[in-house]
Amino acid sequence: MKVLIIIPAYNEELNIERVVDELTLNYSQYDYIVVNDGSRDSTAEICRKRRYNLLDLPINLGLSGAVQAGMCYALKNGYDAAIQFDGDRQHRPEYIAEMLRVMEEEKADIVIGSRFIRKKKDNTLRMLGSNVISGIIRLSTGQKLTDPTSGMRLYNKRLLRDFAGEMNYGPEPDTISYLMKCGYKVREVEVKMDERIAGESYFSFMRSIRYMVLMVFSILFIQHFRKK
Amino acid sequence: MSVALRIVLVLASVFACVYVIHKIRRSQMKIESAIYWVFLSGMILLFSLFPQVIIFFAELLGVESPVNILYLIMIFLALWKIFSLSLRNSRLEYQIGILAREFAILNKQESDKDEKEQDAGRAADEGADHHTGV
Repeated sequence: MKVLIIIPAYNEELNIERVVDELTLNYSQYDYIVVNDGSRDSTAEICRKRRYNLLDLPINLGLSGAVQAGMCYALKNGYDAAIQFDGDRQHRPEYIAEMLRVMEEEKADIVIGSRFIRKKKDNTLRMLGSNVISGIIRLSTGQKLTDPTSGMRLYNKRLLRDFAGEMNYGPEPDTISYLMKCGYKVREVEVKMDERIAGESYFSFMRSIRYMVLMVFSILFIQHFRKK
Repeated sequence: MSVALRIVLVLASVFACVYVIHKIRRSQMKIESAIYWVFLSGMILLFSLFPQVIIFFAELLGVESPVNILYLIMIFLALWKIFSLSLRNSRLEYQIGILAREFAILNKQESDKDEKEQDAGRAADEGADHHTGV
């Protein structure tokens, strides 16, 4: 299976080199692409100087838009699957092999790297948000997702096509929930993640609140009326 | 409707109409989007010149003050316009996303090709050097 690692990067000049160097050094069996999401810092220059495989978006599209651009690239270059892999060193490449194995053996459409299969969630606001989304996905689909907000997701070719072409197919929990309702097979694999060390996250406090409201509204209400 | 209010409405709608036409003349607005505003101000002008139309509808719907009908129509049209703009905005955002990524992919194909040519050129140079024994 030919797999592409999609690394969305927005203002990641402090992290991008380590992320990509680790991949090229120790995991050269996988192809990767850095999607620079209109960064205002020197992310793109660093990638060009180091001759990384770079897709340079001319404007900022947001995390979903950047990942979708990567999926479009994967599709055009004949990949069978693509994995979303954060550019801030939170995700560890050693779990990719296991995720691929599960996709192939269980014929899964999406494999999510989950931090909470055995481990309990901490009592932080962020984890409360994660619990709420887990709960409403369960309510809506009857299936359990332990880590719906995990950004480490592997998608097969069938889904790449949907994600690359359709409106309202952002790689977010609401789309995952909708796809589960449509009968796509979603599996989780236990992974560990690191804390963000440098740079700023896509998610500020106000953004997180907006994100939560959007997800609850979308999963509980809108997704029931979408075409299957 | 009082005469004073009718005068204000006439002036406002004439001014709106003139302003929209001015925007078209200066190429700041497309004719397609101007139609709505010209019709809207034309309608308000009509109602303030001939309030009988409004009074007729007010009696039909049992609304005490005829001017409320005018407000109702204006609010309804404004909401409808906002909704259609929101719809259009969604489509534009979607289309811009597609344009941005297509642009990035094309750009990448170009620069990949350039890099390959450069590498090939360098390799050829080195080969030539070998031949001449330098």
